Amino acid sequence: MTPPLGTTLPCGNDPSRLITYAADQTAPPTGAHEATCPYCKAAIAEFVELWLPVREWVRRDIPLPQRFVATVMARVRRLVQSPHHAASVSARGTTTVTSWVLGLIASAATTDTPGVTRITGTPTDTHRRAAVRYGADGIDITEVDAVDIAVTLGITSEARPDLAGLADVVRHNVINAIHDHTTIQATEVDISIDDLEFNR
Amino acid sequence: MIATDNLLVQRAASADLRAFDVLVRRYQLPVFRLCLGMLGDEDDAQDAAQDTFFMAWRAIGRFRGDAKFSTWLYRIATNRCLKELKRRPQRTEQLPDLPSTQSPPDEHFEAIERLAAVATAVSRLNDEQRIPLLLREVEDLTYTEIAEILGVTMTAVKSRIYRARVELARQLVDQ
Repeated sequence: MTPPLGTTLPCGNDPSRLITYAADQTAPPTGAHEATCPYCKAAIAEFVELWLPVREWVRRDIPLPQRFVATVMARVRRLVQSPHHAASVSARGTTTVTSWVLGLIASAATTDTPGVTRITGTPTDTHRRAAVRYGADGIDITEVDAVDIAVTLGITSEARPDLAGLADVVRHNVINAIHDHTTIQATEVDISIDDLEFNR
Repeated sequence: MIATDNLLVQRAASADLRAFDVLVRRYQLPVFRLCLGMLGDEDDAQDAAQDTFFMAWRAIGRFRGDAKFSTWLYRIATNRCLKELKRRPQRTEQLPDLPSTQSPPDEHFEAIERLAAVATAVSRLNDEQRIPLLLREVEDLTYTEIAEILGVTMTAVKSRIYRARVELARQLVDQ
């Protein structure tokens, strides 16, 4: 039997509205018209029959690719053991990014943030005060949990009321820039506001 | 005793590779099956499924357990496959995951034809309908879980699945 799609049942119901009962294998709620209407019940029965091959297709055997788990785990191990920061690892090779490159990206994202005058160095590296625009000096990159990274940097900002808000914007920009360029996730960005610049 | 997903996730987040290995074994079939259903090509599906687990490993420290691990994993897989589908110039309509057709007996041949008819009909659905349909029919997820994975409302999920089912029924009736 074929469900009467595209027509109206003698009871006035649209048969396509009944398909959910057949597909989800649920009964119409007690008291609903379709729970007692013989035309609707017949249409539901036809949909159940029509749906049998779909159920068969759902249950079909799908052979897994050979050595699937081994391949995935090999990629993960290569990532964990990589001395650099791995941006991607595939069967065709590994792409790694050095801390220097990550520092460059973080530096650009920081100095492009309105309100930041320059990068002044990290709390542990304050002697590098002559940081060059788009240079990675003054930014520390460390690994976290073997895969993610933490960024530490110090900035000189314009004198403004909401310094914490400015730091949040820098943090957001650094995380996004590193992820967009390399897919590497910076889970922590510690920012030290080392100096203020007054424009009078 | 079988370790729960949450326990394994906690261990994996502490860089326990064995725990992650168990999770990969546990979810390799559903993830691969979903990718195959979405992409239709076995090689692409294998790449997408492997990438899904690789991305999951990289992000597992940020999995907070608000949703089930499987839902989170399906979301990664779905996004990975959507990216692949967007990259393709045109959608391919092939679902090659059918049994071999070498000299089958009549009954077997009919079964293959039935499965092929469903596979073709499913592959002809647009992505917006096909993806929630696969998550519902094949992975047996709830409407709420599907809404979470796709980042849309439950009403939208119900509507897309309804339209997919009507379209699928139409195609099966026409065949």
